Amino acid sequence: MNTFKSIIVVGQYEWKRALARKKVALLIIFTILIELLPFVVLNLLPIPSMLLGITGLMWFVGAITPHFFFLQFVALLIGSGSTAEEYDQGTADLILSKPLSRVSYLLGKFFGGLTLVSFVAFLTTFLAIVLSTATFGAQLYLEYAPVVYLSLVFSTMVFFSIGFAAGEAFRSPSLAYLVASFIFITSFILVPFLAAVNSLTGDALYLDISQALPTWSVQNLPMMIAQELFLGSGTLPFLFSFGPEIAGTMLEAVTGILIYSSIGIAIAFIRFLKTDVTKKSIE
Amino acid sequence: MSSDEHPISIHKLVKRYGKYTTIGPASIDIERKWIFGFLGPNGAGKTTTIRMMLGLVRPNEGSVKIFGEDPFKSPARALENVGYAPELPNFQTFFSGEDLLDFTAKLYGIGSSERRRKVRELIEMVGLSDHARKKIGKYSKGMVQRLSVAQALVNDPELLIMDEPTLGMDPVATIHFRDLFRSLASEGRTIFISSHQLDEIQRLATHIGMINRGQMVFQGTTDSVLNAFAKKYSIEVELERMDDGIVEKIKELSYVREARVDANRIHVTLNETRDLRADLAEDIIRSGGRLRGLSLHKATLEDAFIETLRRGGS
Repeated sequence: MNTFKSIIVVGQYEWKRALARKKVALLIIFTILIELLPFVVLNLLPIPSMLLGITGLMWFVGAITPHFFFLQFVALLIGSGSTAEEYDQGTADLILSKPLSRVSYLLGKFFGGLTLVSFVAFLTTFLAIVLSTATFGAQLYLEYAPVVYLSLVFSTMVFFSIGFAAGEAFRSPSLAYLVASFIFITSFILVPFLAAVNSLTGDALYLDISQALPTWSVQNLPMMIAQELFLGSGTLPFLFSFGPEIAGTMLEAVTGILIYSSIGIAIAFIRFLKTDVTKKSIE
Repeated sequence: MSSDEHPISIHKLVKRYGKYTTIGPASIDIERKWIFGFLGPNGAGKTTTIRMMLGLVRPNEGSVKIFGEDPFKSPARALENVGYAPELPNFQTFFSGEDLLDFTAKLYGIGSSERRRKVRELIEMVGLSDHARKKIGKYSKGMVQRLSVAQALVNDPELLIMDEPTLGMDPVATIHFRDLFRSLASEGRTIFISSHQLDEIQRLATHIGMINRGQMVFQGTTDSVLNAFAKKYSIEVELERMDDGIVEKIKELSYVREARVDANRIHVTLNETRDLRADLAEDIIRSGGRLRGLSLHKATLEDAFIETLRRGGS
């Protein structure tokens, strides 16, 4: 079987395997609920005055809201369990004893997991468009929805790769999820905190550090792209009311995403290709 | 893959785990059409050797070749004609038996119509037709083991590697699978079986290798191994009533090397290669024992196994 076919077979298997896990299914349901509930509430109650001027952009608000937090957790959970659960459950031996190159296996696992995360992002974006149209009427700039969607997928690759690397490095799904979540939450808290310290002290070092953290690129790239394409600055002031204005450039955000994703992928591949397949320990 | 390559060729294979655990050096060359019984006590290194043969573990020294290919460096080529049935494997429980076989066939690159035919055939062959669509999570141990053999046969392998293939099966299934393995071997396939079920191996294997403390301690044809151990006579003694005093007296006899009690029988290994039943009967009666029966015991694989362990694997 050629490498491409092997990757597809392992990728399909990864979808089935991930979706068979209750916690992944539950987190995906939560993410969709987070998407649905605000629109349901807005449908039942009068539209708040602060939203009246931007009702045509509610599809974008709906698409980007889960991305800040829940979608990253979906990515972490799927990534950290991808290979680690195979070792933990003792199923890795059986697949890897088939005529399958190790590179094909890991690429299949990686792209299988990443496409599943992309599918969740697609669902939330699609729901955001449908629900915002149903609630607020015709939406503006929908022609940019595919670009926004791709920016969400591209930036989600960071925490998927960090989870994937942690899973392969520790070969224990719970430990991998704990470590990857710690990195996400620490970065999630530190980015606005360091930016705030910068605005108070004027010391650029704090801003530089905050921009080097993974959540800065992940959360800001889709916003930067939207601003560039159709939002302009200050169109959605309420979105920025919880933190300082975005500093840095789109190139810096793209570079950050590429660096963090590449490091994650490299760690996973080196560990997997250079070491023995871990056998399930006898309990 | 060259047709004259050994299905399995292991040369001075060594695997180290930390400072103290070393498997090897072990060397085995397995020829086509052999049914090779791989024996050894727990922790001897059987599973590690098998995992090195499948490319799951990289040896520290030496080499392992499957049909001339290194399974760690080129698993796609080395394992193309290999089927592997692990001992009570951990399958993904969301699969049904049928789904698992279909997925396994996909990993071998088998096309969809051939897959459907093969899956139906194998499900029937291992007696799981009534459970084909049931989730594996609901299978019994015996059913999982049947499925394990089925998935190992999905690519019509030339080499079949099995770890305790009949473990958890009922006697009828065990006989069915023994016949199946014989029939596979008669079709020209090579079978490598690791097992603790020595009577099964004795019935099935054409060749035997035993590993202890990480080293191959003997290998040869099944008959040659049994003949080597048959040079030592042993007698089974059945008494009216088991008496520790008599057992101790038997142990003290000059021609007795060992006497061990097994249920209501005493298994006596002699130092001499002569039939000493008459002498032993006389000595037992003289010691006050009431004999029910005496039989000369032909060496079995179990005797060879225990004898090897007793010698410390030398």
